[in-house]
Amino acid sequence: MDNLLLLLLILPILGGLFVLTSRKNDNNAFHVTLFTLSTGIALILRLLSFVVKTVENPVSQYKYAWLASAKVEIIFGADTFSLLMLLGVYLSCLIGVVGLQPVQRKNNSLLFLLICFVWAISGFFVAQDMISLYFFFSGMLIPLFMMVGIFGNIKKISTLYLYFAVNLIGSLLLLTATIVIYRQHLGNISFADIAAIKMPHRIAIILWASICLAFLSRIPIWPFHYWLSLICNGLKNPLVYIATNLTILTGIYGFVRFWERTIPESMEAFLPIMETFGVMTMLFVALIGVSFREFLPKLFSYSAVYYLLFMLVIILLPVQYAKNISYSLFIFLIVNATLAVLELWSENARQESGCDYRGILAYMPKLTWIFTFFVLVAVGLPISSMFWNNFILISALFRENFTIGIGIMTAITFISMALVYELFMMRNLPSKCVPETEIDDISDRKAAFFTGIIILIFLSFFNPLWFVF
Amino acid sequence: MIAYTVFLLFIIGIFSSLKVGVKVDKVLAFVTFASLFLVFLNFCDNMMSAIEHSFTFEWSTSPGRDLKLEMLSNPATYGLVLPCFIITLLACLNNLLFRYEERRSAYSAVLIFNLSALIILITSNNFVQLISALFVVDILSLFLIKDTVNCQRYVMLNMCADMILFSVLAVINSRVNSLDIQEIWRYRQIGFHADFAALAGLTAIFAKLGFAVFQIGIMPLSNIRFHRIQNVLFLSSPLAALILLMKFNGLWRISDYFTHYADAACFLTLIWAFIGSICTNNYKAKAIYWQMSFWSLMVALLRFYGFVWIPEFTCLLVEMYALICAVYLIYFYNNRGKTVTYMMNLRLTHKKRLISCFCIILLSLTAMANTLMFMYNNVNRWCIWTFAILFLLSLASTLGQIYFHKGKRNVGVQHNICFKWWVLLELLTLCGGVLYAAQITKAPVWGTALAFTLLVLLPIWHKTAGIYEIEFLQNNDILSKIYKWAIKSLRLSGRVFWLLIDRLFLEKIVLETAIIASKVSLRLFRRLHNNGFVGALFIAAVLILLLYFSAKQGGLIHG
Repeated sequence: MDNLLLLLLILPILGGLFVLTSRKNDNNAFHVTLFTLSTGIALILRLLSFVVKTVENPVSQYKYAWLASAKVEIIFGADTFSLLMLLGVYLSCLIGVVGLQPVQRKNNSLLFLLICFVWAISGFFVAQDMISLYFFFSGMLIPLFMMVGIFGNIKKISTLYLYFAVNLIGSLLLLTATIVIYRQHLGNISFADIAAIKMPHRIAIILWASICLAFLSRIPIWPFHYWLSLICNGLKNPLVYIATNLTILTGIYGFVRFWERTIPESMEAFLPIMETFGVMTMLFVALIGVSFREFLPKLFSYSAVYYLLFMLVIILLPVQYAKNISYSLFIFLIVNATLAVLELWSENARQESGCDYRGILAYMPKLTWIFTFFVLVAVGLPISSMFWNNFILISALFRENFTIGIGIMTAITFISMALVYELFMMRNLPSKCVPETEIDDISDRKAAFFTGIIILIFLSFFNPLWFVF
Repeated sequence: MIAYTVFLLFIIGIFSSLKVGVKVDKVLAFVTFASLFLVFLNFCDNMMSAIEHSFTFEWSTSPGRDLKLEMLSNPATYGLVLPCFIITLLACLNNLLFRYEERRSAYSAVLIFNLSALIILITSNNFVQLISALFVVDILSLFLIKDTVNCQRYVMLNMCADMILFSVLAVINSRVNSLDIQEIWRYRQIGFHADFAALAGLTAIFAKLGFAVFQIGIMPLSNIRFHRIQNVLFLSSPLAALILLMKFNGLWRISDYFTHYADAACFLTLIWAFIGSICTNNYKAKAIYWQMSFWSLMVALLRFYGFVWIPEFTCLLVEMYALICAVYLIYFYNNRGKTVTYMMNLRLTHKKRLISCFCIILLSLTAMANTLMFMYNNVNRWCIWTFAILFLLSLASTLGQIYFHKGKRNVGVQHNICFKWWVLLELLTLCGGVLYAAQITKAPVWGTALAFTLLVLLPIWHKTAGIYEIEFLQNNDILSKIYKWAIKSLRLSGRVFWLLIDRLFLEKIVLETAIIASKVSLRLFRRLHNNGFVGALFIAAVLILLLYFSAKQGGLIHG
């Protein structure tokens, strides 16, 4: 199984090489990317089946003594949580690749950068020690910045600068924390052992504040939500949107890894601040989502509200809820990616036909069915495992703090209503909406692909890991 | 066993939803109805046998808790399923007899799936199954409505209510740590935010029932086809809400405010429905108002009966359904005229047909009066009297206007509407059956029938029809304005927050300050660099200070 883990990290490198050397203006790179992602999914499923059936976390650890004199041992490992997140990332990227326009599919550079990003994020999810975590945490920014900068079509350069600056500061903070831990332990250390390090109170506060801020810089908590929303709302490329949105997941995952076993008492004083900020931002972002008039900004607000919910759940609830969080997050990732792709398709169709935003879905019946299903899953109807797991998590949140529970439910209600309202707007057919050219519905192939995703999601309602054999 | 019935219903539903040609569709709809009828007979057979049975299926295993699909078959659940089954059967029959839908079999399939979801809701014994079934009923109501434009408010309101219920159940689960509905008694003992849970949950139920103020969700349905309105009001969210009201009766009673809140809501709904039905010229809107007043009566009666479903409630539901069917027939024989003003005059239209419809209405009302007489001694009499007087007045005024007032409709454009003998026979049999079963002997029942006939014949209704000419009343929907205002204010507050906090504070103040500060520091360092000696002195001083503090603290790491 260790070999499978290594293979999972090598696979994107090989895929990237093939993409880089493939012919230009051809679908070759696109097919290689599809193959790479599909093989990655198969590998993750094999790993998942091993993890689920055998022992508990973390299994299949791979250790490599890199610099023996400096005591730098690299450790890779995976448990159900990280593998489910990886599966979610791979599936989201696959959905994004399928959602590319024919012209974009021939863009080798975009696909190469995506594979690099997938490689870095895979490394991040399987990293079990501080140095490799930092390496992949910062490493994923390079392809991401290039994707956003080159293919994101962001018109305001200052927005890009801000986004880069915030992420860089986050990386620097994690670097500081890594150096402090290395200095304290006199060597690289796995997450499991960080709690055992004894350090002065003042240093502990600086260390954990750096780690928390590093992860928070990726999460759309106030004020970080602002640059994230500016970037995400301006993106017109589904793949870049998905990649940008997935970086938020890395912040959430960071909290999962650190908070559950290593967060010291020194940070407890700051917990109410984080809770308050989290809930206030949720309400704030949900209200902003209601105020926007198009689907994509609402979708970003929706994703921000849910990511913040997961963050609050992680910091407030005990470790036993980790599996519920992972099941819910997994479905959320897929739904978020699919809705982004579908929205950008409808946007493209709107621009091509010269039709109004309102009623665009009325001309695309297949797309409408798929779109409606995913919106219903997103708002938490009982058609996926997200519903049942969210119920458990929100119940537990109510147990911890009633006021926070009410705040969270209000934000979720607002944003869910905003999504449904916008769906109605997109389906309503005003009399003046007459397309100049005929609007093409999605192809049967794409419809079949998304039907497969729908089946995956719907069956998860009965068993969240039904696909693991 | 109810589980077996649900299984059969699923099979019939799947069979009925097959996509077939137009000719085969009618046959398929008939086969569907026949199969449904057979299942109904089987269900009645099981109900008579009164076999108690529990079907359990492990649905999902989760780290939090295992989730089970439970279906309890006992006299209480049979009694509650019965009216749902009868009304679904009648709805499918009407769907077969009238050419309501382009694809009759598909519509029947939706009705059957809806019935299955209602049965799962009724027989559920845990929160998750209950709320899942509720959501399914809500989703299926969209298929029953089949109108994107007019179901928007209905969907939004129901979704809001569902979210509130979800929160309430989460609060309960957080305390009792169990999904079992029976565990509510423990929550009553613990009493964690009990008033919130009870009143918020009750508000959600009232919203789903379309009570006063919340009728904002169901009133736009007056623009859709009549039979769809009827099916939604009788079989969808309002009925599901009524079931929830009974299931969680232990929860509502926790709050001391429950009685006052429920009474006030019922009374207000009754009054609002009466005023609305008198004032509106839209015939379908009138039907919705009548249904509103009926639901308020049901809630009030259920409260007096301690939320225990007795056979009289089943009779009331079926009788009301028959009455609304007759109301539909009047609409049908009047060329589906949208407003009362354009439906008028018995002398100019199908006299015999309209008289038959009146007979059915009279029979339904007699049956209803008879059922209410059975309950008379066990409930607050004011409740029944208020409903009876307001409902009869409203219905009589509308019928009086339609039958005897001079209409504006152009008789020349009448379509050739065939006389639906089958439907009349169906409704007459239904009402006659109920009356025969009830063995009417009481004088007040016949008195009600007589009073209603006299009320309709009163020559005053043409005067009240003048209300339809008042533009202000017809075109000013206050609740719609409130709804739009609420949406607008939410949007506005979001926009204001965004402008104030994000744009003004974050972008214009914080970021601009940071940019200016960096520019100033850059300029400062550049000057220090260019200044030679003074700059060198300044940097040396800073370094010495740093060294001093570092030495004093013993270094950052070892301090």
